[in-house]
Formats: sequence, C-alpha cells, structure tokens
Amino acid sequence: MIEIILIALAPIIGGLIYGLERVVRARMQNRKGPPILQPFYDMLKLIDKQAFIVNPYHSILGIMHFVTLWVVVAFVILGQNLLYVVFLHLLSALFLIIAGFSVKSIYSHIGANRELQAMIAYEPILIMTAVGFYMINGSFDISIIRESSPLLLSLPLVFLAFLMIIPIKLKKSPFDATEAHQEIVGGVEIEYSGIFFEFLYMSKWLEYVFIYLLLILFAGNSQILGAVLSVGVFLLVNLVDNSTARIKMKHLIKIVLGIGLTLSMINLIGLSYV
Amino acid sequence: MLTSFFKAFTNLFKKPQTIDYPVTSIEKDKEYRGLIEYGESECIYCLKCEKACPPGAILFVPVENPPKNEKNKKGLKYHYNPHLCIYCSECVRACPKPEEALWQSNKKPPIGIKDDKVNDGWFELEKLKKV
Amino acid sequence: MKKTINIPIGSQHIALLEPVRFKFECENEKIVGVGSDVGFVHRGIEKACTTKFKFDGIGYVVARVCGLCAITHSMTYTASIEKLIGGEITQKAKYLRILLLELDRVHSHMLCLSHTCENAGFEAMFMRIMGDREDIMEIQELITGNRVQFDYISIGGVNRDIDAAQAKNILAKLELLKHKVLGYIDEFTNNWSLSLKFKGIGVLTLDDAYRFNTIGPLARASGLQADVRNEIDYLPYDEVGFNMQTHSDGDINARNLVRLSELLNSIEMCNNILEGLPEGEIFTKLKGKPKGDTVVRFEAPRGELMYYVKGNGSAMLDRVRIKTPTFSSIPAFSHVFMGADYADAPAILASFDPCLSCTAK
Repeated sequence: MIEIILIALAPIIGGLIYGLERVVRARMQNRKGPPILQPFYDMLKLIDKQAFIVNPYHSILGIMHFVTLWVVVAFVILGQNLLYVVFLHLLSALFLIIAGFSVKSIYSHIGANRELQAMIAYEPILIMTAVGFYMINGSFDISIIRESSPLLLSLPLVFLAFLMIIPIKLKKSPFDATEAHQEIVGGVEIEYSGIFFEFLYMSKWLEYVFIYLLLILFAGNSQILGAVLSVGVFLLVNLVDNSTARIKMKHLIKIVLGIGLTLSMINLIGLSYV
Repeated sequence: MLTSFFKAFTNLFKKPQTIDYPVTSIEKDKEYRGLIEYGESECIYCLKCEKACPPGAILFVPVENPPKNEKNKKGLKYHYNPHLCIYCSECVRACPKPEEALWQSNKKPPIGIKDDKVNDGWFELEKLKKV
Repeated sequence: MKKTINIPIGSQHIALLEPVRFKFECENEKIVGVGSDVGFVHRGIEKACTTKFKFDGIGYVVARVCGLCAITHSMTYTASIEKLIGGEITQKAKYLRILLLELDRVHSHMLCLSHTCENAGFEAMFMRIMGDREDIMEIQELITGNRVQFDYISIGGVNRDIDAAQAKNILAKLELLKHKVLGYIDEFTNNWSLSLKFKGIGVLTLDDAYRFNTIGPLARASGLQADVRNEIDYLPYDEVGFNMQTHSDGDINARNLVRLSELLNSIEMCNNILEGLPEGEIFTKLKGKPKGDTVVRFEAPRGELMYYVKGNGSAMLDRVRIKTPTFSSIPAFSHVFMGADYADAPAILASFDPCLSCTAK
C-alpha cells in the first residue's frame, strides 16, 4: 500500500530534491538562491504558455520518454528485476534521441548526437553494476538485494565507477556536455514549449529519484548507511560541480570508459576468485 | 582545483552577499548625482544654465502669470524635465550663484512609465520656445 | 548531398553579451568556413555630433557610445579639442584623469575574465569574480557619483576632487582587491579542467598577428609589442609606473594571463597616484572655438581608439570620425576560428572581448 503512494508521489519528491539542490548550489557560490518550491512555480507558469507542435511524432515521443521513466521508477520501488530496469531506462533515453532527430533544427541534431555518444559511456557501467550485484547474491531481483548485508565492502571499485557516471546522468560539471546551454542552447530541449517542455522538466526530476534509489541499493538492509551515502553523495556532486569546467565529448568518453570500465572489471574478476 | 573545492565548502556557512532590495532600502551618500533643485527667489534670469545643458532639459518659457521677481524682465518661467536630464551638473557649474539658485541634491530620479506620457507636455513647451 | 552543415551563433544567443552574428560551416563539429555580420545597434552618433549638439556638449554624447570604455571616448575627444583650442591643464587634473582611466580598465578586464569562465562551463568562478567586481564599482561611486557612466571629464580639467579621507578609504579597498587577484592567477593556472579547455586552443601566431594588424591584449598575448600608452605624451604615464605586459603562446590561456597581469599593473599605478597626488586646481577655463583638424589616439581596454576631429571656427563641428578597437580586430577573429571545434567557439569568442556597441556606432 505504501508503495502505491510512493509511486504516485515520485515526481513531487523529485521536484523537492531539485529545488533544495538549487538552494545548496547557490549558497556555495555565496548568493541567496531561489525559494525551495521554485520548480512548482515554474510548472504553473509553463502551463499558461502557448505550446507549438512541430510535428506529432516529436511531441508524442517526448511524452513517452516521461511515461517510461515513471514506469522505471515504479519497477525499482516495487522490487522487480534489475536487468529489466536497466534496459527500460535505455529505451526511455532512445525515445528522446529519436525525438531530437525528427525536427530540422541544427541544435537539436547536435544535442541528440551528443546524447548518443554519452550513452556509449555510461551503459556498460550500469550493466557491470547489475552483474556485480548478481555475483554476490545470486539473483537480479531488487527485493532480494535489499535484504542482504551491505554490498559496499565487497564492491568498492564498482561504487567508484558508479560515482563517475552520476554527473553524466544529472547533467552537472564536468560531464554535462549533452545539455551545454552556452554552446547548443539546451540541445534536444530547444524545440519543446509550453506543456510539452513541462514533461521534459518533470523527467529531469525523476532521474534524480532513480539515481538516488540505485545508490541506496549499495547499502543493503542498513538504513543508516543508506542515509549517510545519500547525503554524502549529494554534497560531493555539488562541490565538484562548483569547482570544475565542462570538458568536451571526446575527453569524456576516454576518461569514463578508460577509468570506469577498468575499475569495475578489476573488481568483478577479483570477486570471482574469492 | 582543490582551492575551489574548499572555498565552495566554506561558503555554505557564511552569510550570502545578496542585498534584499527593495525589502531593505539602500542609503545613498551625499555625493550621489541626484535631482537638480531650483531656488526661485535668488535667480537672476541670465539663462546660462539653459545654454550649458547638453540634452536641453531646462527651458525658460514665456507664460501668462510669471513669478514676481524684479530681474524677470521678459516674463519667463523655469521648467525642468527629470526624464531628459543626464545629471552631469553642467548647469550648476555655469550658474553665477551655484548654492543659492541652483544645486544638485541626492534624491533618486523618478521612473518613467510609457502609459504616463511624461514627455507630451514637454514637447508643447519646446514649440512655444521656437516661436 | 552537401558535406557541410551551417551552425549559427546568432545575433541573440545565451553565450553572447553583444549582438554579433557568425555563421560557421562545419563538417561534423569542425569549423571550415566563417561568415560574420556586425551592425545591429547602429544609432547614427557621428551624424548627431555634427548637427544637433554644440562642441562643448559632445563630450557627454560620445561617452554613451559604449558602456565599458565610456571614459576613454570622453577623454580622447576632450584631448583633441584641447589640442585645437590650445591651452594647458594642471598636473593634478592629469593625474586624476589617469586614475579613472586605470580604474575603468580594471573593471572591464574583470568582466571579460568572468565571461570567459562562464562560456567554458565554470559558473562558480563567474559568480566569484562578479562579486569581487562590486568593490571597484563602490570605489567609482565614491569618486564620481555613478557606477558605470562617469561624466567626469570636461574641457579644461575634471569635475570633482578627492580629499585625504576618501583617498585612504580607496587605498584600503585596493589592497584587498590585490589579494583576490593573486588568488585568481593561482586558480587559472592550476585547474585541470580549465587547462583542457584553454591551453592550446584558439592560437594566433606572431606572424599572423603582424599580418592582420591586431591591437590590444590580443596582440600582446602573441608576443607583439603594441601598446599606445608607450607612444603618447598628453598624459604622464611614465611617471606613474606603467609596464607593458606580454606573453608568447597566443592561446586563450595567454590572453587571460595578460589581462590578469595588466590588472596588477593598473592597481599599482592607482596606488602610486593616490600616494603622490600634487596640489593645485582641478579646472582651468579655456576660451575659444575649435578650428582646423587633428588626430588623437588612446588605449581603451580592448585596444587602440582613434578620433579625427575637424572644426571651422563655429560652435558646430564639421566632422567627427571614431575608429574603435573591435572593428579592426574582426579579420583576426575570422582567421582564428578556422580548424577549431564548434564546442570551443563560445570560449574563443569571449576571450577576444568584443564590444559591439563601439563597433556599430
């Protein structure tokens, strides 16, 4: 019963996390920051604006991206198979890429191109994480992973590789070249307006919920370790965001695949010997 | 990179640099360039301020009921437009009696809103001047 | 089927402070052709100077050509009228004029540095430099009464004076600012992600700088020794401690370092002026009307600024011609973009420091 309520309120919880993060980032830059409920005020304003439909496939694919991401979060809360979750998440990202290629704007094409290149960088690491969980527990089911003892001690290098892909998913420096708003003016989001842009904005909130739920999985059945991990990673991601610039796509792929994939493979090979 | 990292962390505990304007008001000091003010009783109607003003924000125009001053031979009245003025105080420097007839205060200039049509009355005065 | 795509950085863009349009022809994000367009803010100032305003009010009109180098325009025009009328101004007025010109240079360079960081994706540095720039704006408000448009120079001298208490206040604030600038130099040279974005990108070699006649910090970063403050004698720059700063690499990192060293040199010059200010009047009345023609040059924060003024003995001038520094750097801009990635284009553009209201007057 409580799971149904959590699934229904998932976008609102994501919006509160996003609003809190904007205030924390502003305080780190010595400014005051917006009110915490600012994402909801933005939503009310966007509903009033005029919505242009460029072509019907573009708008429908944008809505499908949001719906699929909500289904992914629902599966994680209900405790389904982790490998299905990873592949459904890949499907939702593909919807956005095809929507980006279906219009004639040049910024949209370049943004979709960069999104496709970033997917090459983070998908292998997500799959390695799922394989690492399987090798310890013998099953891909999330409900069984939650009952086991903390996995952080036997998967430290996989945890480090997972930390490296968090800035790519949450669109933060140094790895936020897919939504570089000074260079390509938002990338794929540029042709959405009005209520359709609201769907993309809400799917950003759902990404936050998804990443933090996956992070809590590393803690197993210990609630205190889960809380400590979430708050620690929240502060660490924002501190790194405020002290680095944005690096280009070719450097991103070299660093993330070169270091991240090597670390996780070393960890998995070490596990098979123990 | 590490200095930025630690600076970002310590900034979380300091007071932010933002001023909460207009909830808190800002005090301007006495040297601020504000509105030009006029003392009619001391004016000698030499018209030097009107010649010195670059955008033409001071006009002396003949009217029916001029102010009673023995130096006012031609029946003129002083008009000032705060929306054309650039607050450079050239008029104050050109006046022979700078602290008594014409001086610069530190009050904030008014805001010009398009619906108020602030310049329409001024264009009428300029036409009177050309005639 | 075409091999190239056209990507514009249009006249309205998030990364631009000024309305300029560049159209790039790219092969898969590598630039192979550049087309440029300026002139979006043309207001007709040169025509207004000869028809609507008298010659003693034009000093306020040309200060409104640009927001950042306003006082340099006003200074150049006043110097040319003083040459035509003929007359001497006091030593104290000359020192006060140099003080404000150098303070203006400091705040303009800080704006350019923060904008370069923001286009590279580093927003925290942008907010930090802008927060420190508020100190310079407070100093300018203490001296002249306004934060950006000063209206401080008129024909024959300056308009306001500085007393001893204000000078002590300003010296204390400048000392704090010097420590912050040393912190920036440390950050710009040691940050790993900024060096990936700035080093070796947007290179202008010494031969190309000489061939395209580049001016300002853009030329000094490639090794060319070009600074107008070395070559003029209307203001006593050699008495207050001016040094020319150059670098030899020619990439974006070199331009940033040249601007930072110029900041330190300007702060040192302001310290020398405030400690050694001579006594005297600040304004002498000059009589007469301008007759004949003359050419005057000065060093704005972005390069060399030139005025040609022609008068015929009446209160209205015959011709005022303004040549601004960004206009003569546009061929060098178009050359540097070729062969770079499109992802670097906003950062390269911000490091040139274009000022389009000067260009399209």
